[in-house]
Amino acid sequence: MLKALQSPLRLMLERLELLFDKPFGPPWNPMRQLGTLAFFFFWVSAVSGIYVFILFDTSVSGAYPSIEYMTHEQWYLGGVMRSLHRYASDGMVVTMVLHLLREFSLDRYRGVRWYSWFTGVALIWLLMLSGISGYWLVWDQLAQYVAIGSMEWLDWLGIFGEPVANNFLTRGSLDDRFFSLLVFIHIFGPLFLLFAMWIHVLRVNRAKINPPRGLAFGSLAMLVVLSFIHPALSHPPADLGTIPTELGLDWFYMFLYPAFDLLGPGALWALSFGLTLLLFVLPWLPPLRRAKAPEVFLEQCNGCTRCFDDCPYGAVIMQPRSDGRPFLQEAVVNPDLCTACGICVGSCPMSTPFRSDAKLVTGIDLPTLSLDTVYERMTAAIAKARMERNTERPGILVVGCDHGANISTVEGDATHAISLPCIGMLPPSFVDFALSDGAADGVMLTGCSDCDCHHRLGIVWTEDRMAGLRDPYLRKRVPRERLHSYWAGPGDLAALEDELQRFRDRLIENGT
Amino acid sequence: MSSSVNVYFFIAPLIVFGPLFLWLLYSFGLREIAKIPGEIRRQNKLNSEKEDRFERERARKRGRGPVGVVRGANTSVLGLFAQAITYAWFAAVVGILASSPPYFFSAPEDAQIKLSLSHPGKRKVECRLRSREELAKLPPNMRAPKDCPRERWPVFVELEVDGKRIFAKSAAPKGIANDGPSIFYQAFSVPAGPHRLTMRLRESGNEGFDFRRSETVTLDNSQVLVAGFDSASHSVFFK
Ligand code: HEM
Ligand code: SF4
Ligand code: SF4
Repeated sequence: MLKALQSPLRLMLERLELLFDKPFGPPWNPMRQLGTLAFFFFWVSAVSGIYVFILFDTSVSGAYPSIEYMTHEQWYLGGVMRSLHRYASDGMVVTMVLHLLREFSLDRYRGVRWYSWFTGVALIWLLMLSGISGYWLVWDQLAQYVAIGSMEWLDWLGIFGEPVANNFLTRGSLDDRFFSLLVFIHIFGPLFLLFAMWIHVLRVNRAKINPPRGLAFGSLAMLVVLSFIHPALSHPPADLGTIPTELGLDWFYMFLYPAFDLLGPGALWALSFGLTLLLFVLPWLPPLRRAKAPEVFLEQCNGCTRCFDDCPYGAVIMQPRSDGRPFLQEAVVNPDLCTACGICVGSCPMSTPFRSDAKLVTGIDLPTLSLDTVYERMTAAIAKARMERNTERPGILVVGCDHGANISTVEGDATHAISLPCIGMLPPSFVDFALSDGAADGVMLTGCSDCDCHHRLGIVWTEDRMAGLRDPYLRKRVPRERLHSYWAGPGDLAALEDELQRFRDRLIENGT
Repeated sequence: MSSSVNVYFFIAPLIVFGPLFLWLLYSFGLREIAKIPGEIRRQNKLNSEKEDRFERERARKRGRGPVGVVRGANTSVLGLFAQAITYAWFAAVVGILASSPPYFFSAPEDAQIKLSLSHPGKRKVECRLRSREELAKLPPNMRAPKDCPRERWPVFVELEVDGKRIFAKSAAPKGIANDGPSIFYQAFSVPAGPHRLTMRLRESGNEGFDFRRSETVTLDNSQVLVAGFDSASHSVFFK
């Protein structure tokens, strides 16, 4: 049931991602940067908002003319700032919705990630409050319509003695005091939003908050150009003695208002509350079956902190040594934060196959897929590859992950694959081992799409380890031309196969 | 009318639900992070700072890795051109939906009647003097000579336009002791032009109505007319 919802959505979004990969390149692909883009649009909106506020008159009678002034007299700066303020907020809605759909379709909202999802739902309300309250301040016909609609909606709750909508009953009903309250809401709404955005990523270790410079620059340029050629304009001034007729709604924020006119406040409360509630409990419908968290084997752990550094979920903390061995610290895993991605296993310097022990024991290991099992599977795959290889067909070991392209389909013809929970679980020494003494002719690493690791940091850490930037390094002696990587998502299988073929050709050319 | 709502009505939900929500998040989502003892936390902070220094170093060198296909940002002329087209497309979506397609809230030849009134019904039981015996039974600090039960009658309001009844509702008094005003708020769309309006209001348990008004008004295009009750002159008004 859940899959039936997720899969088509995922397919659609993936199409879009692959489409954007070509012109942008994965690091700048906006579809892979939706959360950071939403943050960026917030900052654009905040900065332009401060400028607009300087020119804004906070009285009922002064608000509209002050905005007309910045739009028409000071169009080159005030007008542009006003437009930036509007369009960046709209951009936030677009990126937020896509971000939500994407996290949902990729199943990145259950298990330990419930926290980000749960706080994300609150962000929807805060963003809506921030945007809608901004439209009140223009005090044009749109503001009048939206303000009265909002107040009637609130009044349905019956918690205010007098209907709040009575503040908009007749000409002269709206006083400066109430108008300052609206201004107050529009200042504190976004501040709360920012606070909540901070809370939203609090549990995400090394969260990416800022988009890459190229993408930030491009999006800003886009907003500025849009602001010049299609500046934000006001409706005619509000007049509480008349009803507005035709309204140019900002559909990103006001999509519910026509529904309100149609269905009435009660139905709309039911709808918005019901939907919010559904979103809130979604991570437990059904809950993610969590794999067991890794165990630390103290006799192997020397307290080097690498697993602590590499865990994308902050699930490892270092504690004072408890077993009397002469090290300062030891690793301790908090199962409540762990996704069993295995990245810590790949980071442990003790995870090496070049040992004489009968069973491979490392400092930190997954109970469900121990490094020893990985070792067995890898040697079996290499053995099969060796049997089938010939001069035309180099023996290749493919290491992939459970969230990327389905690598079992590339099996055969001297190519054999193993899959890990995350490519970051692969210790570099395993690559060394696979290529030493000509065990395999080549090793191909793959996982999720570029810049889009399911466990966020698995790909980056792997690349860094192979490039000698991050402990544990891939040793210098490993012939780099026999190692290859291509980050292919589930929808990118064809590209992976092409790349694999190219790798084969290269290996043959190099005479392996 | 003066605004009877103060800032606190808006802040109150935040003050009540904000901390509740934060507490929830804290106890289920953050405590496991926050409960780490101070000494260990300090040590881990040192660990992270060390790591952060390395990480900054790495970030500079990254993307030029010697392995595999590093698909970096596309900065070719063709790539930038294609990006510009993508941005234009996004901007078009944002620019267009930010103010169109238009929504027709009300036809230009329509007008609106807004019924809004807040009126306390009569008390259900009139105040009466307590007898001596009754007073003697009460504790000394509660011996008020008058007994005034605070409960009020619901208010009933009827609105007719051109002889057709478009609104008839009884509203219970607000307040826990049913001692507040009864509140009505509803908007009706009518064609502009002359209309015969009749409003009747009952504030007690009597038969019939305590207040009424009938008037012919001419509504302009898009005009808003308020039908209400003026507590100063004690009468129904159309304005
Ligand atoms: C104002 C709007 C929002 C902003 C600025 C925002 C920003 C972010 C950022 C920066 C991340 C971290 C990404 C990373 O480092 O990988 C993130 C993750 C996430 N967000 Fe949002 N977000 C917003 C709204 C939402 C909403 C509405 C939802 C869903 C209801 C949501 C659900 C998630 C989830 C599930 C994660 C994944 C956390 C993880 O991978 O552990 N977000 N968000
Ligand atoms: S398995 Fe993954 S989430 Fe769990 S402790 Fe190791 S790195 Fe962290
Ligand atoms: S990486 Fe291995 S040795 Fe280092 S602290 Fe973690 S478990 Fe111990």
